[in-house]
Amino acid sequence: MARLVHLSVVPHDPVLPGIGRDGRPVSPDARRLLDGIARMREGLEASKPDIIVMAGSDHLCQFFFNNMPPFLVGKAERLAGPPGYEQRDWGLQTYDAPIEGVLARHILTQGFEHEVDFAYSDEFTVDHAFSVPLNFMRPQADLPIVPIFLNFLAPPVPPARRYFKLGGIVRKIIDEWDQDKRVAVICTGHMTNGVGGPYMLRHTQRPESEWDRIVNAAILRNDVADLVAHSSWDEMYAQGNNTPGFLGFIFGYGVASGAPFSWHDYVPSRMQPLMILLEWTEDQLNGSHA
Amino acid sequence: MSRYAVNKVLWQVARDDELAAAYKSAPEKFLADQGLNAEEHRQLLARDFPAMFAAGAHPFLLFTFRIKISGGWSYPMMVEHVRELADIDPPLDIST
Repeated sequence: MARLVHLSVVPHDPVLPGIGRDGRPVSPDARRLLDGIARMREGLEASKPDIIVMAGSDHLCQFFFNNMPPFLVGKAERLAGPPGYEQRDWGLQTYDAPIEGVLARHILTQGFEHEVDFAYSDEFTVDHAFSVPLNFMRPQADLPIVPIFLNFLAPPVPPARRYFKLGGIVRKIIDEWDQDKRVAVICTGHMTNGVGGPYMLRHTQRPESEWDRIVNAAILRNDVADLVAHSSWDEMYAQGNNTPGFLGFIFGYGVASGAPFSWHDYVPSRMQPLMILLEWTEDQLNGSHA
Repeated sequence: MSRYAVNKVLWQVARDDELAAAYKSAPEKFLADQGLNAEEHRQLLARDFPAMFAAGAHPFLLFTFRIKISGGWSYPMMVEHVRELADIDPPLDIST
């Protein structure tokens, strides 16, 4: 049977990869974030995964209001991106890796069995939501990926409890897959974040909001019910228009299926929007399932 | 109101270099058949970011549209964008 060997929540802020480039100074907060991500990269490496399942959102890069999937499995031959305009705007590196088509199709069809009506795509691109975390976590791009797109940008989106339930179903599908494979899951999302709106620079004055503090306290208690309770679209959106990206964390908590995190960092900063890093190790994930 | 049509113009310009060039070189022509009402047409012609934001245009699309027509992202452009939107109470419903 397959085994879940790593779970992490990794930021996809497209500014992060350029920090320190061309000899520019690196703030202590940014250093802390980059060191934390490096730590999680080492954790992923140590878990010896065969496959990475990656869950993130399309930023209205290709999916639009003419045909918007809440949840979508990508099953093309390869995962590649980001698009040219994101490479230009932020100086982003591309990521290009094979897709693990057997597991992608298994998650899709078993999802149907578990009453998840995934959309699917055989031709798509990924934006910075996938390319930034994957370049941080597996820069050699040598592992096959299964991309799961979660809409947390284009309302209406499903309620938070559905993202939690979906994460649990994906976990169950991985656990019950009859292949001797070690599977890692990487998720991405936002804390308070207002890119594009009037709160875009609020962190420069106020690095954390009351919502951030409440959510972080719930994370420290592993109080998933409280996390879900504070993840309504309206409550998150009021913090800043991209804050519903926290639904990526909620999906991750579904995958964890109750296991407390192994490592966590909370990094409020005046230099970039607040970010939380989370990692679960193989032992932590399988402690109650062994 | 046709929020979808406004978002579609923002999306086309932000994501497609050829359509962005068409919008920039002949905006009246580009906007003519997009299903916009008179006010939306005015907003997109005047690049009236506060009015579009207040009407519920998608903020991330609006910003990437601005990045595109500004010739790329810059910190001063971001500061100006925030300054222009600062006095607006953000609409909570931006669904189409």
